[in-house]
Amino acid sequence: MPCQKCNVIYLITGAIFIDGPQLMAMIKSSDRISVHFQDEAYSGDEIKTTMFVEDFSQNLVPYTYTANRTQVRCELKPADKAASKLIADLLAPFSQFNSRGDMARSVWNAIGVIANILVTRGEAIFEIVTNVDENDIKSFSLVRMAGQCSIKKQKIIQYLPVHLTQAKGLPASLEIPREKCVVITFPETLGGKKKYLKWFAKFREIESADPYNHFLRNPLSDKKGYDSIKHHAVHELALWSATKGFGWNHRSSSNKLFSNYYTIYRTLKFRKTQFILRDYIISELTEHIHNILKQISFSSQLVFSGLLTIADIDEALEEWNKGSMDIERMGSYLS
Amino acid sequence: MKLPYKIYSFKWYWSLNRQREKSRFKFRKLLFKARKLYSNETYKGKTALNYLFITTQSILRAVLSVLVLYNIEHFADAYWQEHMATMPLWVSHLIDLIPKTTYTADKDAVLYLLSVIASVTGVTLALFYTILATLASTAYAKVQSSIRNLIIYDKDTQAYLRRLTNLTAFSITILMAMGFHFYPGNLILITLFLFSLTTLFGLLKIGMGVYNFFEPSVIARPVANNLSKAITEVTIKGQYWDDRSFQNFNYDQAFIQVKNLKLITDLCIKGDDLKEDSFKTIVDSSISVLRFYLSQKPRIPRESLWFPERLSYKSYFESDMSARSISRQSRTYITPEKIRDFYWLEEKVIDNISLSLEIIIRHKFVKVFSDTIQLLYPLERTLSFSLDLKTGESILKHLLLNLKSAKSCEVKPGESLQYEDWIDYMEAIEAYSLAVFHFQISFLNRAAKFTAQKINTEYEKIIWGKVDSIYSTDFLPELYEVIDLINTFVKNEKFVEGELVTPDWYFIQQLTSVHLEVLTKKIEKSIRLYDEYILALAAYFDSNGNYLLCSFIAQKGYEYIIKYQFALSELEATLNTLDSLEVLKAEYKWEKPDIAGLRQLLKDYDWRGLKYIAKYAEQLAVLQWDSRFPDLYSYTYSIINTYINSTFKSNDYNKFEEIFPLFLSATVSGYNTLTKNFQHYTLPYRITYQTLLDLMEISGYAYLYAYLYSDTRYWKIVKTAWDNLYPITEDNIKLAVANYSIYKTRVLGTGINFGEKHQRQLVFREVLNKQNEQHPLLLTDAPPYIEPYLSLREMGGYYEVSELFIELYFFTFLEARNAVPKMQRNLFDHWCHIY
Repeated sequence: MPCQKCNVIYLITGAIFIDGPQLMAMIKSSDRISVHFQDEAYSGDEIKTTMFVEDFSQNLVPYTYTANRTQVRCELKPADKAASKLIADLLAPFSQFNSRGDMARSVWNAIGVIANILVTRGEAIFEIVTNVDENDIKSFSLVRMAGQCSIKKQKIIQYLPVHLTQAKGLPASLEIPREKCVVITFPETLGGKKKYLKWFAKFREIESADPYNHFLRNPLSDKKGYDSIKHHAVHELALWSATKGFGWNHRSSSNKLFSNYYTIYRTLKFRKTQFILRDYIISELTEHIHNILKQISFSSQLVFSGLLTIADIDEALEEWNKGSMDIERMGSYLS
Repeated sequence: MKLPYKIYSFKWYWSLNRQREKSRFKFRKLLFKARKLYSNETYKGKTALNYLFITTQSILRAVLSVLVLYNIEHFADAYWQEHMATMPLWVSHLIDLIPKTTYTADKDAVLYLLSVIASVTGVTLALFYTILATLASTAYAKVQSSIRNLIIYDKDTQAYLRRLTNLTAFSITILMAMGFHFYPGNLILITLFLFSLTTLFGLLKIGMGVYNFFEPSVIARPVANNLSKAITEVTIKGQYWDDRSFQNFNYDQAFIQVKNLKLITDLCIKGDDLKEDSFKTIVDSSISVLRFYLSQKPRIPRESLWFPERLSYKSYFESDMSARSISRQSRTYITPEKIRDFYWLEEKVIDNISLSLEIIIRHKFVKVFSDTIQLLYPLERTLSFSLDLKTGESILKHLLLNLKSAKSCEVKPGESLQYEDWIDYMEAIEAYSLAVFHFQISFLNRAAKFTAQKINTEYEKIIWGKVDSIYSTDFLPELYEVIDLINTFVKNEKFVEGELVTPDWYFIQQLTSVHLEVLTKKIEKSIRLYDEYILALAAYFDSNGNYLLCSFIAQKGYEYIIKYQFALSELEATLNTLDSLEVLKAEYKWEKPDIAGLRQLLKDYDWRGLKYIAKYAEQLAVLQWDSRFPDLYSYTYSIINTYINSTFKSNDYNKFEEIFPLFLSATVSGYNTLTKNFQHYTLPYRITYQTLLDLMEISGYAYLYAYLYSDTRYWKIVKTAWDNLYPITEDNIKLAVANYSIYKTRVLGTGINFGEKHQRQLVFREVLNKQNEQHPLLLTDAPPYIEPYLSLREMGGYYEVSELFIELYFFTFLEARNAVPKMQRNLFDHWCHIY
């Protein structure tokens, strides 16, 4: 829900979009067409789905302040301070805290937020907004387009909710030129948007049918011979089966359902899935940033180094299978 | 079968499921009854055949007798017919006077026969029930009906009564048929005739058996059989072992039988009146059933309702998400977990035996108590086999309490004891100490069997998904909970992935880790039993001043320590093999029993036991002994003698200081007692010389070790002990030297204590070599009077260490020097040559 003072809107992931008086006060003019409003792609009622979304989108990239990730870098080559500032400003809306000026942190945050949108909505659409401040300095920012959007060849249509149109006298939809937008859809390597959203809906459906979700209102509890424990166990297994493709481990470590070996195996598989998503977002984001930089005649390129790769995970899986994995080293793959 | 999850949300699924379970249960119940009926009928049939076989001889004898009679009759009749004419007239008149039968001409003969059979069997039947009723109202008047019913429901009795009733019924039925002019033919009559004979002769056996019912032990047999049957039914060999209703039913059956067993045991003991044989038989039956149960227990699934449930509560903080969710929604505590009581049967049977033993010992049936403990040995071994420390310890605990509650063991200071007064208790203590030993040693031996190879072999027997294959393996019982969990893992993994992902080595490692964890706790605990059950009893007798029993239990314990040390070596080798099963290092806790620590613990126990032995050595030394009893003093002497040598070896001055003075005083006192005890020997000195000789040799060695270890305290404590405990008089010096002289001259320096002497030499040479390596000037700096003893290679037998002591101690009393002119003084001469 939005914060009263600064109009901060929290998404279920904890990522924050800053928009409103604080930011706008410094800006003299902006070419933003889309309108920001609060929209909820996912209500967050189901605990397992919430956990899945969190796990899938968080920890994709290391935060620069974590001690064990000092070797991981995101930098411009060749180094260019002005370009760095431009990227930091461009991605500033993705940052939870003020990270303006810190390009690497802005990029890491952006990857996390984009992943979150992809996991909950299947696609992320942003408008490239050009701002001019009181000193006539031009800057760019990437703002998310809220609500239902329709992607056309030349334009993207943003549909506004009725309460907003009535209260503020806005039209029912807004048209934003295609070249002013950045569209990132759920990667095809993980099934693509359509298939993923179908799966996501199914997963939520299974979870919502769990008898423990409505323990006191369970219509079956009066039935003779009904076994709620067995019923719950069936749902647990159905959820585990549903997430098999992604390898999500349901945050369980050595519980009574699966061996610790299998849980770690799933964790490693899930890390692999996360890395596929991460690499995809990085490639998409890098491409769009380069396009923007090119427009303003910057020639530097974003370069990432020190990140764990899919090959690393494959190797870890093989070592895990043979039993030759060093338990302490395992931590670096899992955290 | 993998059903879509949605199906479980429909009411009809649960209705169908319930119907299916109900139908299955009804069918199984029906089948169970049919099987029971079949089994009973088969038994009765077999009994009938058995009786037929047993009575055939009697029947044949009866039939043959009848045949003989018929023949006699026939030939007599033929003879009469042939020679009737020549017979005197008075004979013919006499024959005419004898009444003639009408059977052959009249059907009434058959009628009479049937009537007689019906009457006789009817009367017998009535009498039989009267006898049983009398028995029930006298011998078993105060017990509950379940026990009395056992008399009536005894299978043999039941089978006989059934035959008797059938015979009566047949006769009556044929009589009825005859009323309607259906006359029996030869077949019916002959069958009836044979049936009557077998039943009549059967009465002889069963009738005698009836009076056996006065012995409660007779009833123990059907009780034990019923209990064994219930046990078999709940194992994976039972037909419906996986049916919860049947598990519950069998538990109830067993519970009743265990209660019956207790009632029958109580019948044997009525105050001072003990039916000894019956009691022993019942205890033996109880132990046999319990052993059978323990052997079958690993085959009973851990989730079976045979093991009653109890609740185990969990904290909110340690509960999983589902449990927390239910707790929040329903505003209740976290749903408690149901924990199974795996030891209910053992506890009940052991309590029953222990309570009886308590009564027995209270009424001074010490001999029966000892005999009963001996019956427990096989049970202790069986318990060790399953590493069931809990039950094993429970038995020992009860036995210890019973021994303590025996007659007062208190001995006032200065009061002397007699072997005769305590021999029964010594037997009981010996039986008790052996029970402890059997349990401990079997425990260690069994633990040593679980090598890496054995674990792999047992694991290979498991077919995941088949619970009976799990329970046919030979793992520790505690591991079956983990194996059940792994079975769930396998099932779930296959459900989710379509195949098993977790490799076998991982499960084996997991199992071995739990195995080691269980073993580590149990092994340490099992070793500590020595402290809790041997040393504790010694401490109890010590606090009561009963030096005889205190020394006896300490000596028995001392005997076992060395065996435990050997068993630990074997166990250590086994544990080392298990390291090969730790594939993924640090994944699971890999805790192994601390064998070095346990060895040290045993050494500490050894020392504590020895202190009790040494403490009362002097009092035992003056105890009158003969060959009817174990000689506690001589064994004490031998133990301390050996232990002193080990203190020299380990340079443990403190222990030497503590036990040498006690040994000296006991040896000096014992010398006189030995002289009395062995008066029947032609040459008593051949026995008595050993004690003073050993003492003087040990004292001499103390001087030598004082030099080797550069610790003069060894010699000082020896000198002080002699000064204080052996009055230096001319006679006493003469006595000591005379004993040495006997050894050197009469037994030519050999003697039966050569083994001890040899050990002292061996240890001395070992220490000498070791010290020489560390101190190269040890030999060259040695004073000339001890230099001859410091030979690195030779055994040094030529120079007697006891002589060194005589020279250094006794001959310092100059006036005594002249008192021993006859002694060989090799050393003294040697010194003379040196200077």
